[in-house]
Amino acid sequence: MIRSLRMLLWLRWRLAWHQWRREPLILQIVGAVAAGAGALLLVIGSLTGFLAGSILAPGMPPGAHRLIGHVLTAAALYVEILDLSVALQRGELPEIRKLLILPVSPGELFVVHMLGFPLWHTRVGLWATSMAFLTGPALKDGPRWLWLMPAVTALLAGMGVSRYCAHALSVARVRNPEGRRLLGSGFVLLLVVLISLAACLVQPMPPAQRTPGPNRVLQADPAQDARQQAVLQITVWERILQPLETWVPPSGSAARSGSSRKVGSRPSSLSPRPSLHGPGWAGGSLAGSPGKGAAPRRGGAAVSGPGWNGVKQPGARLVQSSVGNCPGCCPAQLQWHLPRFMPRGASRRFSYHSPLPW
Amino acid sequence: MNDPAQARAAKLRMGILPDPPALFDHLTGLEHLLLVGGMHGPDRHEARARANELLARLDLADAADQLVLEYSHGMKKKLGLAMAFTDRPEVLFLDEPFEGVDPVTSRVILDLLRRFVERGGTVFLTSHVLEIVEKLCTHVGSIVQGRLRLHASLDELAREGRLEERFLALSGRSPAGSPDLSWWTD
Repeated sequence: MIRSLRMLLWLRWRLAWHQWRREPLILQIVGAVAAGAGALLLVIGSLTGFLAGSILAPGMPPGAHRLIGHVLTAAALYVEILDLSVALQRGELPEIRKLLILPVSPGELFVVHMLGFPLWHTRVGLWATSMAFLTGPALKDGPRWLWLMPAVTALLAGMGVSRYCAHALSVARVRNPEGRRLLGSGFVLLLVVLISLAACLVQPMPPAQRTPGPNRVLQADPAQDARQQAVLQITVWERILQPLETWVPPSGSAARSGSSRKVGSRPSSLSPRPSLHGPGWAGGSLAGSPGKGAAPRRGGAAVSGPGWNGVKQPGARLVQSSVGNCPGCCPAQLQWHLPRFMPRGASRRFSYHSPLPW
Repeated sequence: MNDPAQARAAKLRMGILPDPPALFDHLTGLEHLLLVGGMHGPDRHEARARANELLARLDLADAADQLVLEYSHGMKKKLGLAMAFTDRPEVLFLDEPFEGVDPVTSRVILDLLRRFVERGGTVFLTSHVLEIVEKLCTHVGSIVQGRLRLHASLDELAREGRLEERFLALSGRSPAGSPDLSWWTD
């Protein structure tokens, strides 16, 4: 088996070498630079990832971890797109049909086929960087970080397999090269959209707060999270969204709020923005559930009041966004609420925590 | 053969020439033989010696370092056959081995196959040219519309007439009496 793999890698190398030799000078230079960059990424990325993971990662807020995860995912997607585009336009890859006459196993063929794509070293570099980055927190904060290693590996492998299937499908089903390119690009775009949606909809880590100490552990605190969400809602409501709100039909709005005004507009009788630790905030809900002890005042402390998220407000805006400080979690937070698409009383918050201080 | 290990072991005892030959355009003839030799087991020097001998025997020595994309159809056929012969196979599967091959090379291939059979090897050969089959084979199987319709030794078939006639009878199509092309009639 080792011999077969060695020979298949040698085949890959010879194919790449001959193809490179036949290319115009400018493409030869570009190819050499790309290969060098890939090799550098392998080495420098691994080292940087390990250093960043061991030194910086334990002190980072969870939002920063999420951001790094999303950046790595985006980078992997970018590599896949680029790889497939290049592969579909290049001359020759080690086709499985041609290798079937050789004494090799399907697993070896698969590995070689994956390694046969032009940017395989970039993919390996990304994986090495991710693993190195995760090693740091695992060493400092405990082995519970280790589960992310197979998860990241599975994610990268899944992307590779998806791209592999897209290529195999396009080669087998579509004879027209132009059609192949279109099919491959369409598949990759679909992949990008799906993964982007998943990244938006799924919070990789629960809202958390840090506890001091040498062995700091990230702990989820739903009460504090709810308080944070409420403050964020109010902040953005006051500063950004209030002028943009649309009118609510007077019949529904007036019946509930007693006056005809914009959805969520802040009534003049409201007090200034409440304190984070003020009474009634710990149990505050942004989900439109009936308020528990909170007055139905939109845009103020009554974030838990009925109709807050627009579920009970026909004509309310589809999107309510909030930007503000996110104490204990990360410097800033951006949220999207999609009230119209939610069942009554349900809470579906799509949030992205960013460490950027805006 | 569903077991990958068994499939691998079986392939080590086979030589296969598909049609078209499974060649890489951006690989030289010599590198193809080194690849197969390296897979099948002989060490690097032995593989190179065998490759050079095969290339010389099949009149490909001058093109050993050329990329396959510069090869003619016949040269590709010969290189594919050389790949099948690189190790010491027990069974050869050859798909149209004489198609597009010049007469001299055809004779070389014929000699190689005869010696291979004399040494105890088995050759499965497919061809649409039934004269070649009659000339080379000891047993014949006829596949008509994807089904094996005839399997017999050539001696048995010889008693019933020529192979071509038997095949035409099996296929149910006889070219005898087919009319001239319409624009040939005066």
